[in-house]
Order: sequence, then structure tokens, then C-alpha cells
Amino acid sequence: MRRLAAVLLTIVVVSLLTVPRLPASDETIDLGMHPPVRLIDQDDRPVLESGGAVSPHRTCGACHDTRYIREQNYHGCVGITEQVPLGEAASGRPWDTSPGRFGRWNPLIYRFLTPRGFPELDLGTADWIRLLGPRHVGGGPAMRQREVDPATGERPRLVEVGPRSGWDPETHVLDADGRHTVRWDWTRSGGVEMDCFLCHTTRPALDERSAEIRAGRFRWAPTATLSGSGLVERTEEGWRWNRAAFAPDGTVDARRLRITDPHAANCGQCHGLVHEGREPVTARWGTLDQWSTETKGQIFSAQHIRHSSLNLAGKEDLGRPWDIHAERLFRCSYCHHSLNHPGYYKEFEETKPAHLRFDARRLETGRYLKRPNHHLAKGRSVQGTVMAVLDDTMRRCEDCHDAERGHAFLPYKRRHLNAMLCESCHVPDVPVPARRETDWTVLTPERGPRITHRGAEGPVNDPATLLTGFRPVLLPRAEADGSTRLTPMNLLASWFWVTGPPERPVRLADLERAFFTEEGPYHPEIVRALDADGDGGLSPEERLLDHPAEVEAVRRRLEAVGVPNASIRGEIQPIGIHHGTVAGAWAVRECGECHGPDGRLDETFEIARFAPAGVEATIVGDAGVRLSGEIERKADGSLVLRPEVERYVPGLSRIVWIDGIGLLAVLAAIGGAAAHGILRVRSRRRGRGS
Amino acid sequence: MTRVYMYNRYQRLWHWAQAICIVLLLLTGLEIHWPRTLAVFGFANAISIHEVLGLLLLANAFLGLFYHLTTGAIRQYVPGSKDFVTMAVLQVRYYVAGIFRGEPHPMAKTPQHRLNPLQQVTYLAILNVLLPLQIVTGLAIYLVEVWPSFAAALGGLAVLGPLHTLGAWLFAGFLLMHIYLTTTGPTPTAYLRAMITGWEESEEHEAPAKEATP
Repeated sequence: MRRLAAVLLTIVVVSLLTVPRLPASDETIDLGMHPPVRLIDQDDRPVLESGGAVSPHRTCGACHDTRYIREQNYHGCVGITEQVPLGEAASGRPWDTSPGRFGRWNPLIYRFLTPRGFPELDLGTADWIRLLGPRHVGGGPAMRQREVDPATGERPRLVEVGPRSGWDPETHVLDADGRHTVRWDWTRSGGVEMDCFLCHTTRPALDERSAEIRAGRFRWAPTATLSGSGLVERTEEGWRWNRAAFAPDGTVDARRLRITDPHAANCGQCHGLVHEGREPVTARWGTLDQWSTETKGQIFSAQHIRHSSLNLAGKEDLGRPWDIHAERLFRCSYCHHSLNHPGYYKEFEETKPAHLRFDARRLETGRYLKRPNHHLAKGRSVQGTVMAVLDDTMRRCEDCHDAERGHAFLPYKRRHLNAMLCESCHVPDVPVPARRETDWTVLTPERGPRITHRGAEGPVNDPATLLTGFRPVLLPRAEADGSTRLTPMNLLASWFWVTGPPERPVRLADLERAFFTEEGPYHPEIVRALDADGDGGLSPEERLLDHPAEVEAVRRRLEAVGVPNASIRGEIQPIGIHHGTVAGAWAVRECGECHGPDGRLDETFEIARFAPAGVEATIVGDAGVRLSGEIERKADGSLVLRPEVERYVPGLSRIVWIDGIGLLAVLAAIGGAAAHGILRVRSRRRGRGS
Repeated sequence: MTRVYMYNRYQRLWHWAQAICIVLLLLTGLEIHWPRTLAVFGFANAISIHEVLGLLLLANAFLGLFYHLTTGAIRQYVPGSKDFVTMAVLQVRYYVAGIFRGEPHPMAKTPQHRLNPLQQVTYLAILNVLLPLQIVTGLAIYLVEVWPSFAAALGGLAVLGPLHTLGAWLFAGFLLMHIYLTTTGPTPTAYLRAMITGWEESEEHEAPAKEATP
């Protein structure tokens, strides 16, 4: 018996030692049944043989139609398929060339993707990749510009204006000093392929991928994404494939790659903080790595807010999750699904045969897996301007929730639902800060913009600062049918210098030359103009252009470094808030919150803590939002919006002259009756009256 | 002075039902209009009460119309007299001067002719303009949930809401004057008591009022 036990124990131990070791699969994620994968390089050779960079296009393309996926994918294209001539962009900016990140200037990022024909280069395509590539899935402009269409032999058309300069944004970048253009060696860098591993593996090595992109080793970005799997490691000579991690036939077990369908954490890599662990939620602001967290305070987590490590006001009372859908184990793809996903596909009333309640025809699973459309269903967020043709393709609240059943307390349900998005009440507040303004008119000593956040009573990342969060402003957003619905939003104000013609943002390199000496400190002329207390330095308060003379001084410095006709522009970018939703118990239920003065509909909303002297801010043209109301500049230089409700809202909407006439009528009746009555009494006392 | 049965049971019931509805409609309407200033019922309750009262007022208005049409009492509201203008001037003169000199009412009030020319004009405006305006605008606002095109056809809530408010103000003004004028009878409470009991102390005129059949 003891011998038998010893034999069995030996068998178990030997088995454990000899079975190929795989990374522990994630507790909550089903890694599915994906077959083993042969990693292929761009020359169609197994990477184990060539030692080259893995090509997701070739590797995944063995089974999936990666060409189709690459083309049906606005996350990759980011506007390159929607380019428009200069001056025709819906944003209203004369220098924008598309509605996506590749061509639509963003004042938070600032650098300007320069079209051909402009007087000087700011951001060439290669620099665009280095700057924005870490939050870009690859493909699109990171690959397409270097490919020749096999059918026509042509390169895709780029926007061109005016005479060609001595540089080309496709082939040149600015040097480190920002003074000269230098040729970019695409042969050496390669392009960034659309990185399937970034969204379809559970733990992509985002930092390593970003490092490769920033270093200009674009071709190796997808390889770096896999570096956490043990398949490949960085050496002094470059990336080296680990043969031991591969199966004897050269394939890789899908569980080692941790292939899965995209989870919220995958989306969160680019879109904002997604927290799935048990450790307390923490966050930092001021950088753009967690885009939605920075711009609208979005945190997607099932954790209750009071358990976070953030210093939140009233934290102990916040016994609700950061997002109710995260608590209910939602993935982003449940709403933002592939447009031809057989399960989530949504047929629209406009295209559905009128006699059918339900069209049972669906794409077969095999066909879907071969050609999954990577245009993800999207809503109509005011900031999501890319591929507007796909607006409203996602499943919205009303596609899943029956508002008629869940709102017994709410009178005039349809009226309310037609007047406002569900989020208007189900995002009652944002418990954390978000960006308020980005001011490039005077660079900080760190050579960046002045940034302020709303919802923080001090430096936003200081642990001692109380984070109060903010209540979104409700503004009317244009709907597809021409109507408007109130939508909770944050407003991002930006102030920046433009030059021209052609009008364009002043390059960051030129701003630096204008504000700083070559040795580092502020230029003496800048100090002379802004140093109010004469201490030789510029305090944060002194770095505000609150007087026309200061604006003029900076303008002169810009001219001195070769920037003509500089002027300051102000811009307001609304950011729709559609996440961070709460369950009914936490939603706005009190009628008086809206039906009365000084409520959610008409309370003032601070747009900017400080607006440079004499500059008005205008809303971007493609937001589909009206800033209904007045923008008022207060004595302290801040800019506030006093919303004006366009609809008739009982309890809030009043017409002064009607109330005036009414009150006069009532007062006249009271006064007339009183006077008449007194006269009657007096006459009666005299023995005459009735 | 003679005692005349001026208002039968239905007329009194109708009057007081309307009165209660209108007073409560004005109160709840005030709360809906100024929820922060006047918070009695709560905004949502005020709306619900206002809706119910509005429907009751509408039903009562139609019952009243039916009664006045079928009994012929509607003729009282029609200023058909040839000397209407003369009588109206006399009535104005009475309110402006005669009442202070203890002169009798210029018009003999009978169950068949209860309304003087000024009342006829006022009720003509109230019943043909103000009440229909309030009913139509109120109904359109009430039905906006299920029949939005009705409200839209009338200009939408942005037009209906202010119109309804204006009508309410005018109603409030009328109500105040109406209450005051009830004190202009033989005694300050004579008309009020008449509307409660039905019997009114009526002044003697050259053409004495006929006693009504209870």
C-alpha cells in the first residue's frame, strides 16, 4: 500500500513538472477555445525562424480577414478616411483636416499635424505616431501612408494646399530643437500595425509597446505588446523570441497569449481608468494617459466609491459603485459592439422590413469570426466626432431598460425622456475632478500649459486636497431627428495663440523660443512684461495675461522668433458624460432639482478660472451643442455660463411681462376693492351709503 | 325687501364646486409656478392635484353648460336687451356714485334675470374666452404626454404654458373682484348667504321680482 502511494505521488509530481507551464489564467476571464497561433512576421515567415517582429496582420490574418478588419475600423483610421479640404472641417477650425485624431487638432495635446503646403512643419506623421501612437491601436495613419494600393499603385491622397515646401509631413519630422526638419527613415522604423493583441489579450504590455513607439521603433510595437507573455523579451540587441515558450511545432498556445474578446480593461488602456482589482481605486489627473478620467472624471469600476483611496468629499456616504454597469459585470463591448456581431447586431427601423417585428436572419458565427466588423457601435457623444455616419448605432439605455416600468414616481415620463438623456438624472454628479481649462497663452516653467481642474479644492494630485467633484452642466445636444435633448457635460476651455495666414496654432517649439532663453529661464522681455511684483520671477498669478499690455508683450516676443500676426483664440469643447451612471436609488428623483430656480437646469457653470484679456471663447463647431445662455466674464477674470432653458419647464420658465401683467391685475383688483370698500364704509358712516 | 328663492340646489352646488376647484387650482398653480416660494403640497403633488381639479372643473363646466342649455337659463348670460347700453351705464354709475349715496340697485334682480349688464359682459368673457382658454391650454399641457402633436399644433409648451399662466392671473383678478362684489348686496353677506341657502333678500323695485319656485 505504501509502495502504491509512493508510485502515485511520484506520478503526480512528475506530471506537474513535465506539463508545459502556462501563465495562470485570469480568475474572471474565460480564455475560450481559440486554437494555437503561429506568430508570423511581415514577410510571412514564422518569427521563431526569422527573429523578426510579429505582424498581427499576417498572424491573425491566417484565419481572420485582417484586411477587412483594418478597413472597417475607425479606431485605427482615426479620421484618415474622412479627410476634408482645409477650411471645410465641421469643427470650424481652419486648420483641421478630418473629424478624427489624425487631422482634428486637439488643444489638450496641442501639437499640430501639419498638412502639406504650410509655411513650417510642427507634427509630421512619424511624430504624430510617436506622440499619439501609445493610445492608438495602430494601422490607419500609422501604416496606411506607407502602403501602395496594389490595385492602382497609388498612395492615398493627402490634403494639399499651396506650393510644396521643402518638407513633407509624411517624410519629415522636427528635430529635437524644433528648429529644423529632418527626414524620417520609414525603412528603419516601419509602421505600427493594427495591434490585435492590444485589445484581444488580457494583459497586453502597454508600457513596453508605448516605449517602442516613442523610440520610433514602430515595427516592433506589437512584439512589445506580447512581452508580458514570456514569448519575447528585450535584450541589448533588441527583442528575442523565447523558443521554450512555443510548442514544438512552432505555434503558441492561445492561453499563453491570453487571447480573449475585449474586456473593459482593454478599452480602458486608451479611454480612461478601468479598475477591476480589489485594491482601492486611485487616480491621477493632469496627464492624458487616462483620457476620459482627465476630461470628464470617468472611472469604470464596480468598487464602491467610499472604498477608494481618494480624498473625496462625503466619501463615507458614497456607498455606490463608480459605475452601475461595471458592478453588473458589463463589458464595454456589450453596448459598443461590433456592428455585425450576430448577438448584439441591432437592425434599425429605417432598414428593417416594415412587416417584421424581428428579423431572424443573422450572420453565421463562423462568418462573423472570419470578418468581424471592427467599426464599433457608437453613440452620439459630442466629442466623438470621428465616423459620424455611425452615430446612434450602439444600444442605448432604452434598448435594454424599460423606462415605463422603472419610473412609477415620474409623471410625464415620455416628456421627460424626450427632453433629456437618461444620464441627466442617472449621472447626478461626478465625484472626482476633471479638466476645466488648458491655457497655452503663457507657458509654465515646465514648458507646458496652465491647467486647472474643477472639483478639487487645491492641487489636484495632492493627497491632502479634498476632491469635491462637480455637477455636470445640462446642455441641449442635437439629436438625429433635429430635436435636442439635455445632456450632462463637462466644458473644457482652451486658450492658445494662432498665427497665419494660413491660420494655425503657434508651434510649441516657437512658443518655447518666445518664452524662454536658450539657457532655460523665462526670456527677460517676458519677465519685464509680466513680473508685477518685481521679484524677477513669474508666480502663477503673474503668468496670466490679464492686461492688453501683457498680451502685446507676448505678441512682440512671438514676432521676434518669427511668428507673425499672433492672436489669442479661446475655445470650448463640450465633453458628454455618459458613464459613471448610478442606479435609480442614487439618481436625481427630486422634482425641485430641475423645476425651480437655481437648480440643475439654470445653475451657473464655471467655464474657466481665468480668461486672457479681451478674448472670447467659442464652442467648437462640430459639438452639436448650443451653449444656451450667457457667458459672463466676472471681475476676477473667470468665465461662467449662465444657462438659459430653451424648453418650457414648469416651475422654472417664466415670462416676466406675463407675471407682471398678472400681478398688476391682482393688485388692481385688491386695490380697487379696498378703495371702493373704504369709500362705502365711510359713506355708510355718514348715513348715506349702502 | 322681499325674500326670493334666487338659486336652486343645482345652481348652488355647481357654483361652489366651481369655486372650490378654481381656488385650489389657483393655489396649486401658484405652487407649480413658484415651487420654491410656495411649498404646500410638494411640486409633484401639486401637479397631480392640479390635474385632477382641472378635470373636475372641465366636467363641471360641461354639466353646467348642459343645464343652462336644457333649462334655457343660458339666456340670462346673453345681453339681448334693447336698452343694454343704457342699463350698463346706469350700473356703472351706481358702482361709481349711487352705491355711496345709498341708492338702490338700478336693476331688479329676479331668478330669471339675475345678472346685470356688467355681469353679463363679464361672464360672457369669462365663460367664452377665459374658461375655454384655460381648459384648452390646460388640456393640451395635460395631454402632452400622450398627444404631443395637439400641444405642438397650438405652439408647444413654450406658448401654452405662459398663456395658461396669464389666464390664471386673470382668473385670480376676477375672483377677487367677484368676492368683493358679493358684499354689495342689501347687507355685506346677503349675496353670500343667498348662494348658500338659495334665498336672497331682494330690494323692492317698481317692477317687483317674481318669487321663484323652489
